[in-house]
Order: sequence, then structure tokens, then C-alpha cells
Amino acid sequence: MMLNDWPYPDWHEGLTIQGVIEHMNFTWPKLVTKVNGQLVWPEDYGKVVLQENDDLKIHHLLGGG
Amino acid sequence: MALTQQELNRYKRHLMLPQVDEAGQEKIKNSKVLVVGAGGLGCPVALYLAAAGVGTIGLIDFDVVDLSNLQRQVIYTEKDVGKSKVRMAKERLVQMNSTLNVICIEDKLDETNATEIFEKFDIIVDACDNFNTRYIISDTCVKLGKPHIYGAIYEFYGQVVVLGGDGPCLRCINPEPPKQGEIVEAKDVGVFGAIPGVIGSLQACEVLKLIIGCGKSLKGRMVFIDMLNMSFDEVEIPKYPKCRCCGKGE
Repeated sequence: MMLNDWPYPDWHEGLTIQGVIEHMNFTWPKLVTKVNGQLVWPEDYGKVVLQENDDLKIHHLLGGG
Repeated sequence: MALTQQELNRYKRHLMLPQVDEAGQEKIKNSKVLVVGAGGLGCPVALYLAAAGVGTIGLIDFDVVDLSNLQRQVIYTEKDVGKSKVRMAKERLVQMNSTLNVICIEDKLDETNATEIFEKFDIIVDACDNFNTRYIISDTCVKLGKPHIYGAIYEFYGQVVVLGGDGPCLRCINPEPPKQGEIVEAKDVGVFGAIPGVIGSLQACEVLKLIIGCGKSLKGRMVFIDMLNMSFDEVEIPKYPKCRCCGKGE
């Protein structure tokens, strides 16, 4: 599995987006995530199970100007 | 309102573009665009809209120019320090293009004044520096059916998306703004000086494309830019069916 263009070493069966966020300690309160190019809504972070060949991107939602 | 001979000359490099031509330039002249925030993003947005000939430009900001703004807020000069941002910005814009109608609103945007202010404009550019105001902009744009040109920056990073109208809104991306204290205030965050120039210019491009009706817009498509590593990414933002603002709710 890829996370932000880097191999993610801790993929395992049943891993969810929420699991990655917690494991990687993403503390930014608002994120924009996509799996294989498709947006995943925040309420689904704990439901979407990642496959071994998935491409996960996690971006911060920015508010500065 | 048709273009004058002077305007035909002034905008001739626009008129050479078949996607713009005289009809498009007339649309630009007759358009009314509000820029919320006259800071890092608002400066390049306002400058490019003024240069392009947007007939009416509204600027809303309650702040004054600080010396530390000059590193990136390219519309201001050292003489402006301590003075109203919107007034100084208006001076520069009118110096650049004397035919413009620039409306200064020296106030803080909030739930009580947003609707009345937005009603006077066709397109709303979100160049503010905090999530609470961004959600007010988004909710008001949905309510009034107006396009919301979202741009945001942080350190070396930026993002742009066109929301509002009949497309998704900010709550489709994330239903609620961060809670107080969850995000560091803008004034306490570093910003690489040219970043707002890049993102603000993209916002201005999207405004002008929207006015003219050309090209593929960023409507429902968010672009992420990492200037530190010079990489780009994008994601389609569909309308969230359960969105409590633009959808059917839970």
C-alpha cells in the first residue's frame, strides 16, 4: 500500500484509513483523503478497509490566507 | 456595457484569445466580484482581477497593514503600514485601472452581514485566513447560489477549489470547522512569500474563466500544491448527499 507516494510498511488485513491516521499520528484536525483517486468522506475513515495495493493520499485541509 | 476604444486597446492581448474575445471581455467588465480578505491571497487576486478589467471589485477586511505583511502582501508599500488595508488596496487598484468601481468594506464578515454583502456580487473569492469565516462564506454562497472560489495556504502548501453554486460546499469536504484551539492562528504560522501569489493567481484565473465560461474549471475539483517539493495533486469533490448545508442532511 502507498501513503502519499511512499510505501506504507505497516499494512495489514483490516487496516482502515482511521488506523493509518492514528498510527501515523496525523494530528491536523481537518483532512482530505482519497483512496485510488476517490475522495473518502470523514465519516467513512473508520469503515474503509485498505487493500494491499491501494494508493492512499492524506492532505491537510488548509484555512490560512 | 460595451467596450470603449480605449478598452479595446487596453485588453487587446485578452481579445486575441478566442476563448475571451470581445464578448468575454465585456462580461469581465460587467462582472462584480467580492474578495473576502485583503491579505496574502486577497492582494494577488485583487491585482489580477483589476488588471483584467473586472468592472466592480469589492474588498472586505477590517485589518490594517503591518510591516510583517509586506513580505507577501504585494499590493502594499512601506507608506501603508498602520493604514486600512482595503483603503490602501483601493488606491493601488484605481491607480492601475482608473475605470474600476472598487467598493471598500472595512468590517469583519460574520453571520449577520454576509448575506447583505454577498447579494451585491456575482462571485465570492475566499481569501480569508480562518476556518470560521470560510464556513460563513460557504453557507452564504449555498444560500444565495453564488460561486465560492476557495483558496488557502500554509507554510509551503496551498490548495484551490471552486465550491458553491450548484456544486459541493465546504461542508461536503468536512462538515464542521475545527474547534477553537485545534488550529494555530494564521498570524503564528510561517508562510513562504510567493505561495499566496501562486494560489491567489489560480483563484483569479478561476474567477475569470467562470465569468467568461471557458475551459475546465475547478468546480468540485480540489488542487493541492506542495511548493517545497513542487508537486501537485487533485481530487474530485462530489456533493455529499447528507450534507446539512447543500444536501438533504442526515
